[in-house]
Order: sequence, then C-alpha cells, then structure tokens
Amino acid sequence: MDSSTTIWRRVYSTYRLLPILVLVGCTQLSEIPRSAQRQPQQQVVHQSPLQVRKIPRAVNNIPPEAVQPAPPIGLPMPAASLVYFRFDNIELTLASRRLLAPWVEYLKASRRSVRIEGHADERGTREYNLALAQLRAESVSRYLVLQGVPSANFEVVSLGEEVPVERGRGEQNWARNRRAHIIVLADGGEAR
Amino acid sequence: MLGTVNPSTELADGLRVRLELYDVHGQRLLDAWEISSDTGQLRDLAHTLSDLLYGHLSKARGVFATRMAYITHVEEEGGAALYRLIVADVDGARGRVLRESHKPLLSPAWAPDGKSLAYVSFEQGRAAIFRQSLSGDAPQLLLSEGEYSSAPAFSPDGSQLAVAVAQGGNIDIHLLSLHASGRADGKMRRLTRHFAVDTEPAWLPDGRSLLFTSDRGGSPQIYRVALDGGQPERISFIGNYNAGAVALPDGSGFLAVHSGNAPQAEGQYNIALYRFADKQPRILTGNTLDESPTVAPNGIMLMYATRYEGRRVLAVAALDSDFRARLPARTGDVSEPAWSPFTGTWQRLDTQ
Repeated sequence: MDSSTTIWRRVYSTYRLLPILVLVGCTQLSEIPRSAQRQPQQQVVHQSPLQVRKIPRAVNNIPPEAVQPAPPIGLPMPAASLVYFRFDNIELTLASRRLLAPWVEYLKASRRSVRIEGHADERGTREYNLALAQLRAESVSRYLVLQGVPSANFEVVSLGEEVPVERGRGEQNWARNRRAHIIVLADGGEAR
Repeated sequence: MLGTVNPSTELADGLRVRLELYDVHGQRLLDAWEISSDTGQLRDLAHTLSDLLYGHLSKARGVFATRMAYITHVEEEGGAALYRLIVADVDGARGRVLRESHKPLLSPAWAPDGKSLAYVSFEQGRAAIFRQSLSGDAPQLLLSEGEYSSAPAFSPDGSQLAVAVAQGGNIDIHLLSLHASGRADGKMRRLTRHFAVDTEPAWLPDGRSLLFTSDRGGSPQIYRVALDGGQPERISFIGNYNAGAVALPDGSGFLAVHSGNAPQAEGQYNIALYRFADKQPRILTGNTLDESPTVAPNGIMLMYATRYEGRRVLAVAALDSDFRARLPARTGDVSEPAWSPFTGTWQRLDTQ
C-alpha cells in the first residue's frame, strides 16, 4: 500500500497540471505546418543489426570523481532552514525549492542526518493540522530524496499546530507558523 | 420543593437527605427522593439532587454529575511549556491532574464506561496514543504505529478504538481492537484507503458507522463510512472547511468545525450543527477560531474551545437556543474539552 499510495499522491498532484500540459500541447500542434503533418508515414530503412561491444572494466576510463564527487571541504550548513507553505496546502513553492537547493548539496556532501519537523497554523482542528504538518514535512523529505539525498538520512515528525513560533493572530503570524523546519542531527541523533 | 438533612442511620459519618417536590398550585406532591451520602461527598450529593430534579422537570436526563476532561498549557518560569490532562466536575470544580508532560497533549477521548480516557502525547517525540484510568494507574501506551498515531475514539461498546495513523505518506482511519481489560490486542484493521488525508474518526451511537474528516474532495469535509466496508459518503457540502465531527447522542446529526467560503482568512471558524435529514449547517457559536466541540451526553449542550484575550478558553452553548457562555480560567491556555458519558454516582433504591 505504501509505495502505491505515494505514487497516487504524486499522480494526483501531477494531474492538477494536466489541463495546462494539454493546452501547451494543443498550441504546439497548431503551429506545425500542414505539409509537415502530411509526411509519408514511415520510411523503411534496412539496417544491419546494431553492434554492441562491452568495454572491459579496466578500460573504463571515466574518472571516479565524475561518478561520486568528492565532498567539497567545509561546505557550510545552509543558513535558511525554514520552508513556508500556503494555507491548507502541502506543496513546495518555487521559493521553497530554491531554498532547498543548497540543502541538497550540503546533505549529499556531508552525509549528515536531518530531522524535518512539520508545523501548521492554529486555524482549523488540531488533528487535521497534525495531518497537514506531517504531509508538509514529507513534501520536503520527498523533494530532497528526488534530488538524490539518501532517504535513510531523514526523520520526519509532525508537530501539528502545537509548537508555533508566533503566538499572535493574523495572516502574518499564521504564515510564519505554516512551516517545515530542517534540523541537522549530531552523530548521536541529537539535534545540533 | 422541601428538603431535610439528617445524620445517616447506616453510614458512620453520613447524611440522609430527603427531597420533596411539590406542585404548589395543584397542591400535590410530585416526587420525593431520599439519598444517603458520605459527608465528604457533598458535591456528588448536590449534583445528584440536581440531576433528579432536572430529570423530573425536563424530558432529558441531567448532566450535573458528569465530568469533563481538558488540556491546559502554561509556560513555566524559564519558558518551558507544561501540558496537563485534567478531569473535573462539569462545573469546573474538583479538577484533578491525570497526566503532566513537557510535550504537547491532545485529543482526550472518554471510554464509554467513563472510567478511563485515551489521549495523544508527544512524549516519545511523535504523536502516540495512551490510555489512563481515573483510578490513577500508570498510563498505558495503546498505539505508536507508523509516522504517528492519533485521534482516538472509543466505539460505543468499548471494544474498539478508531484512530488515524500516518504511514508511508498516507493518513488513514484504522480500527484497533481492545481486550476486555482495555489493552490493545494487537489487531488493527484499516478502514479507509485513500491517498488524501483521512482523520478525526467519530462513532455514530449505533456503533455501525463512523464520521471522519477527509480532504479527498480538495478541502476538508465530513464523510461517513460503514464498518462493514463500502464507499465513504460525503455528508458536508456547505463551506470550504468542515472538520472534527462529533455525533449527537441520538444519532440525528453531528457537530463540526465549520468555516464558510469568504471569512476564512480572518479566522472565522465556528461550531456548526448538522442534521442528517437536511445537511444544512446551523452555526451555534460566534467567536473566531472555535474548535473541539464535545456534546453533553443528553444532547442539550455543547462545550468547545475558543479564544478570549489571546488565550485559549472553554465555552458552552446550547444546541437548541442562543445560549452561550465562556468558562472562566485563571491562567494559561485551556483547550480540547471532552464531555464524559453519564456516570453512575447514585443508585435508585426504591422503584416507585
């Protein structure tokens, strides 16, 4: 169930973009000249079978650095560790993905473990906000994994609306509470 | 109404109270009761008398002898947060700390016998479900499954606990079966299967179906699912936020946290009453950020959490009139009220 439901969630979020993709597709189609669409269907070309030669391992001259880049020495921990979300929403904004880019580099290089804490603002029910905050933290971890950070390096925790940074009301305060917080763990697993 | 109090003939340090209710104009005795009580139980005695009178004068049963559970939150000196699960008489007196933690506590839920509560604690780092009896035994871990386990709700017969479990990127409703002792017996059945959020299960009084919150339609709304399977049916359609349902004791409808279409940005969340017959929300509360509704076991009043002067406080409202009142609180935040079932604090000795 786990992998399939995750896939469905992904399909679901992709499918929201589908109308746009279809529109883009239509625009391109209409730009193709009619003559181009009336090309002969298929030209049969006789070819000899492809020849594939296996390169012996020893001759494989791709430098190891290209496969696994050496961690840059002293890559600093990114300063910004808070990712913000829109109301009742778990999707990463463009700004959030930009913020996460240095984290991808840092986590790949340093191999450190992180805890990602999800939070919600105080509006609505505590339990629904616990769910929302869980999915926000998972949005961040999933993005990092898709960018190549090993998934074993994450711990995802939802704190719902229980631990706000701002206690005041109003969108300004609420916006600061709708967040995912990336916390680098010391080797023992404790927050640093 | 006439009453007499005498030393008890049966109890060493007891009282015998006789209460007679008259119809003055009709010049007749309507009802009479005699209650024996320990002198240390004066509050129980008063609540029981109130329930007897209320039960005579009204069609509904009185709730004066019921209790409520709630969560308080205070900042200690030095800024550390302290959370307490408290059980008190429904009038707020005799509050007793059942659990204390530096990590958040939430979602207290009464067992149907009124002798224990399930609740959610973050003391393990992530939300897990515990059970605590009123007799003061050590808390018992009921469920710590997946990324988190939360939103406990006892079935009306007490044999099952409906919960929300986050697992593998998905949050669904599961049913955990309980031993007669109240411990989890390890058997868990997944009731909903959807990639959207499904949470906040709430039993209908017949124990054959549950209400829950799901955002499968794009916004959180209330759905109903039968225990024996089948497709969940959406039952809230008005407003772009309906969540946290609790069923009415007579099964005719439910309360939910409701927000309409326009004023949501200003935090306009109120408690709405829905009847299954017409599915129209009737707004019962009038503050901002009203949440956590809980219904009295006689179905006449509700208690909920709201905000007052920047703090979380509890309030009550009537289901069938405009009556509303805030409950006083001395310090800190008070939230997550849960109204107990009827508790049997007295026995009827005569059956006339």
